[in-house]
Amino acid sequence: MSGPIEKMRSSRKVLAEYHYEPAQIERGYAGKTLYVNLSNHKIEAKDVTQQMKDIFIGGKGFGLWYLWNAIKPETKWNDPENEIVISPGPIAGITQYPGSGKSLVVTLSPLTNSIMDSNVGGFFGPYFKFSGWDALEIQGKADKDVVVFIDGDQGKVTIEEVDLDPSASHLLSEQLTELMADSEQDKKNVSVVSSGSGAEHTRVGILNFSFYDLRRKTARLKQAGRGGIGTVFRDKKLAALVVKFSSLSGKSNNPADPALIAKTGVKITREINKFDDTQFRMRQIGTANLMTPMNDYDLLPVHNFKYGSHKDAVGISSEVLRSRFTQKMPDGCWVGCALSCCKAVDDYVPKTGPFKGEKVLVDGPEYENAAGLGANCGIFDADYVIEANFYCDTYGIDTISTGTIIAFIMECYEKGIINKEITGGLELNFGNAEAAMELIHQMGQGRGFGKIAGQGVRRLKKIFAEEYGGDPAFMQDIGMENKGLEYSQYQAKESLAQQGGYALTNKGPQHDEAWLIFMDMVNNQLPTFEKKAEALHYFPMFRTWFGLMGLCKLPWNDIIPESNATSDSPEKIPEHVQNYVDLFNAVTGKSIDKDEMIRQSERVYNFQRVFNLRMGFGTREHDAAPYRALGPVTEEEYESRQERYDKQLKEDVGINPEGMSTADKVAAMRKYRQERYETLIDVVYKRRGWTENGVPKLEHLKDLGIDFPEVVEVVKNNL
Amino acid sequence: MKIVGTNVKECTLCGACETTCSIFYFKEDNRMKSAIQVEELPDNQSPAIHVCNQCGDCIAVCPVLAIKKSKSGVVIINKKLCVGCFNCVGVCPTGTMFWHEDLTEPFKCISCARCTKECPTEAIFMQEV
Amino acid sequence: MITVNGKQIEWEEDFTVERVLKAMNYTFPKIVVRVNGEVVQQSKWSEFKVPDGAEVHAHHLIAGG
Repeated sequence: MSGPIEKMRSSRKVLAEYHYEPAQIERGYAGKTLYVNLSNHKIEAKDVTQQMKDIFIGGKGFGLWYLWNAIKPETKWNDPENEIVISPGPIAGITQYPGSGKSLVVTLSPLTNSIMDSNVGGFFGPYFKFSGWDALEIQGKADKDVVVFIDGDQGKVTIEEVDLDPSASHLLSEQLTELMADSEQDKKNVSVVSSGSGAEHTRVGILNFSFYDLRRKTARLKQAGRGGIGTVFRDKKLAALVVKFSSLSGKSNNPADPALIAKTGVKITREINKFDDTQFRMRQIGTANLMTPMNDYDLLPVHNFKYGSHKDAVGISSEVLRSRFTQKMPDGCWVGCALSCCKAVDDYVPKTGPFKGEKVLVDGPEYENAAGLGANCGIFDADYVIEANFYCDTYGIDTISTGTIIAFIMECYEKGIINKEITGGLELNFGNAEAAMELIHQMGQGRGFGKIAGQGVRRLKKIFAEEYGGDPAFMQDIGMENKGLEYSQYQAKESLAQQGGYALTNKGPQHDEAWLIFMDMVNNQLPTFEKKAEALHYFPMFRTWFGLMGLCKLPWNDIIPESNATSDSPEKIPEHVQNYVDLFNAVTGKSIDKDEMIRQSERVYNFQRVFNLRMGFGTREHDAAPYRALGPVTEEEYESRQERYDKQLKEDVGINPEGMSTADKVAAMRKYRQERYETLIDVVYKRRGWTENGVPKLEHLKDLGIDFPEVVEVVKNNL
Repeated sequence: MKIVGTNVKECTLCGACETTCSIFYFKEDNRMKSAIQVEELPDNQSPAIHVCNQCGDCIAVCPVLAIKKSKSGVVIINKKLCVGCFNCVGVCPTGTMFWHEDLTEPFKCISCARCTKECPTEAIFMQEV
Repeated sequence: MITVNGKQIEWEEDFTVERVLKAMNYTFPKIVVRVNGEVVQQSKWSEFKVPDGAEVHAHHLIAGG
């Protein structure tokens, strides 16, 4: 390790330097944001205005506001004008409540060409805020790879050239941490944002935000995973961002009511200690606890979302993955998180690739990784899922998109749309772990078929049609993307509410807006269109709130308080919603209630919708879903659920399936489901205050207080 | 290692232990800032005496390694490293990792024995374990 | 017939809550069960008899993604 670090130390060349007096944090805000331009080396401080705090709050709100002001409708993701904005939020950085260290990252996406946002844990956000900054804007492009250092202890920001290897994120994070730290204990005061070589060769690059694990003596990684933000990062020739802040305390946010924060935090930490082992076992298994239930309830994506379960799924069950995670480690990705869900496989020895034969730490697998890289590709081997997770992270590519991309490729391969010649010899049948792993290396290293795969499902459909004669209609049906972003790993096929939850989103089909599958399909709590529309208003607004504040949603409902047993609306977890209201008020000194919470989100959510319009998207046609997300595309899919589908034809569609061919039944089901989806769109748009074309109505924008002239102009052009 | 042993039948609820501890460590006679807290129980039961038994369960949950066992086996919080997350408070099986709204960091008994010297009835004493 | 989460299934004589959940393939560890509006504690699932015509709600407390 000392070799590369010595090289870094001696090669550091400062291109620009900026000294500042770190702002005193007042009630969750530094009051300043940092602007860095990599083209002209401008570094400057901007003021956070009262309007920004009132309307945009922080996090995603600040990201959208700054990006709106930085770019034009014609701006492309790889123009120097595109910005990456990182912002934590007013609650981020408190140490007493679980899940309080998140940041939101906003940029123009190479996948969607529109606004992308992604949330991420790790220590960067809080340290960056306490270093004196509520947001970081990075604009421009460097000529050669640079690192931006933010030293919150000394009040110094530098843009530097450093001799480093940007290809493997887990090593770069480790090396830069060691470079900035004065001692082993001091390493916990450093956080690195980096990506890997895969972000230079694909459109699905991620950002890894590090936190130092003092017990394991290594940097751990959390991901801003969706939408290709890492690809923008590397396109700007950013190798890394590094922050150092050494005086974290329980009052770093200078909150209005520290006692309420502490009381609420101790309450839920005790709740987690008491109940987690008999609820979702987040501390033992993390999000991978979902693997077994999803398979049991026929909701695990299998073979490119064709099926919901598989006889071999036990190979990557929750219990199997639990046995691979080191137990009883405090695995919070920000201090104070007793939910501790950031599980790791220690001392894994990769069988392939640049780190073959070396012991590595694998951050994960999370549910999405096991479901996407594994089940969706028909691979049920735990070692494969762990190794694929490791390489995606260090190459800096999105495990969710990679899983859905490979699954799509496999279905096309099995259908004969592409062949061995096209894939360079890779026999990409479902279940072929060796071929899939090699494809990941190709994506990460920019070789062979990997260069094509890394373009993402939307572009693959076009390439396969134009160059290999693939049936565009069929590929449109099975290519699981919406707005250009790949679907995350849940089966929405039988849940009309979740179909909306995925496709009626601002950025694309990521489940961070709504996860309604059980409420809809299993608990049957949303039997009418009105109830579905209400859920598709409330939950996206509620969940958006976390991204304004710098909070993780997991402690909201991945631990359930006793009070829930007697609650009228248990799926909302009312006691925890109140916790969040209390936290916001306790930090900021304001007095919002649960209704205002939703309004805060509505302002930012609708602003994002208008921003999409401004970029040429954001209307109803972009909320269309591939038919694989709505129902059975193929006869084999229909037959795999024949009883259920025949019953639905009979009872809901009013067609007697007896004597009908499967092909005819598929067609009848399709007509029904596509019409049903259109009806859902109508009711949801109405509930959200939008026109039939999905454009926010002017009265609604006025009511929310975001009827700025430039916003009104965009909306008027689209009415 | 020495911990504070208890014989609750002898306790008269005089509060001398709490006064001694809170004044010594926080310059305030406030039982809620004492690392030994005596709880009156109903129906003629003996009081409950809440004081750390140095079990060390808190050590494993501290995200910044601020809690360690001293050479003599006493569990100590390094206040310079502590970031006030209260995960230790949340996990403590005996409820004796205390916190108070005036204080950013939690506090606990460190077996200094001062309270045992003030107890008039030997309801508390230093015990070798 | 009984309804479970709105779905109708054939009633069987020996239907306890446990057997109903099994018939529905409801394997999730955290479910709040109400039979005709009354919560049935998990400890009683193997004994509590579900009568014919009953309305059963098996509310899965799953966070999901």
